[in-house]
Amino acid sequence: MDSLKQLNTMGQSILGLRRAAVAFLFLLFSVDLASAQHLAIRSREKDQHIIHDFSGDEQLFREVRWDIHNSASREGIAVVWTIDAFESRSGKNHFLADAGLGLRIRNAVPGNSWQVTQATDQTNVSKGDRTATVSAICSRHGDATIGVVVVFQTSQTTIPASGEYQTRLVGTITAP
Amino acid sequence: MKMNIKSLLKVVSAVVVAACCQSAMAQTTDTQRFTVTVPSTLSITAPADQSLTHDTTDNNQVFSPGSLAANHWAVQCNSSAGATVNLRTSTPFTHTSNSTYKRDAKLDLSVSSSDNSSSGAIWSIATASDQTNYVASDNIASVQATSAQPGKATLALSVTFITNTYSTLLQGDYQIDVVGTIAAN
Repeated sequence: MDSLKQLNTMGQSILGLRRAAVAFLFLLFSVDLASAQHLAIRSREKDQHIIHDFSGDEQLFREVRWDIHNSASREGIAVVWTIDAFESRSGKNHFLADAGLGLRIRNAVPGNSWQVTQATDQTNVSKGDRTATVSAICSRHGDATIGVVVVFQTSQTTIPASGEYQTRLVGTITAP
Repeated sequence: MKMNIKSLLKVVSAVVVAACCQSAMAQTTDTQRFTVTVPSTLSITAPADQSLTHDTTDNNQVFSPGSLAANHWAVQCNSSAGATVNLRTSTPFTHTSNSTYKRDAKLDLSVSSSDNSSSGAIWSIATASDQTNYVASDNIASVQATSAQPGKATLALSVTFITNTYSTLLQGDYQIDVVGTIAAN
């Protein structure tokens, strides 16, 4: 009889622990869904490639789209895109060319919560500036598609050395 | 008690899985690569053919390119080591219907415009002047310009018909062909 009572008590303890675990998990997922699950930045197009046509000192890539989603931070987010100068390496040779950036908001929801804070920038290799940055902010939850134009720039008084020049555009979300 | 520990382990595992799911659903950075292919370019373009009428004096007759860009040689190269341009005539001025009548030709070359680097003009003159001397069997005159890095330029080539004595010239046309070549260094 005593052993039956002991087993019953132990069973109730286990049941209590399981209920507590279920309650804890429910709480955890509730918080998760309400706050930090949906913060995303994605480049919609794949890597880009153009062939220089020597038509001028600026060679433009077609506009690329970046999708931003923020349902995580009620205080809003900042989105920053950075790009380094174009670089070409071939054997001992190392050439740099300036990179330019242009940014615009293609569409946004809610529209009045999104704002471009830095629309254009470019590197200036000859003066030691090798990074260009553009940015936008969203003051609350929201979605946006951002258009970014990348420009390959060379001096008006020189033609670029032959070769393959590459750089990487990096988009980053920061939340307060 | 053994069962209690198992239950606790399950709870801890669930918490870990939940935490992993949470971090996987937030993507805060992405990247995209941009590539520009700059093809190789190596070109030289001559101005249009030139002619003049002798002024009937003993003075040398000069084909001067002047300031008009169309009368200059245009050269361009984007090899990392630059290029060398050679402008050359392999004959003196020779009468078009009687090749025994000749006059020496002189070439003078200068850079009329050039792309610049931080250290100055990319193109420079290696050999500025040369002339034929057909009496001494030197029938070739050549001048050179060179660069050490990518860049374009226009070159002013002045060609001189060396008259000597006008009265001994057979009437008619005297010609030379200037041939320009460019080669990557």
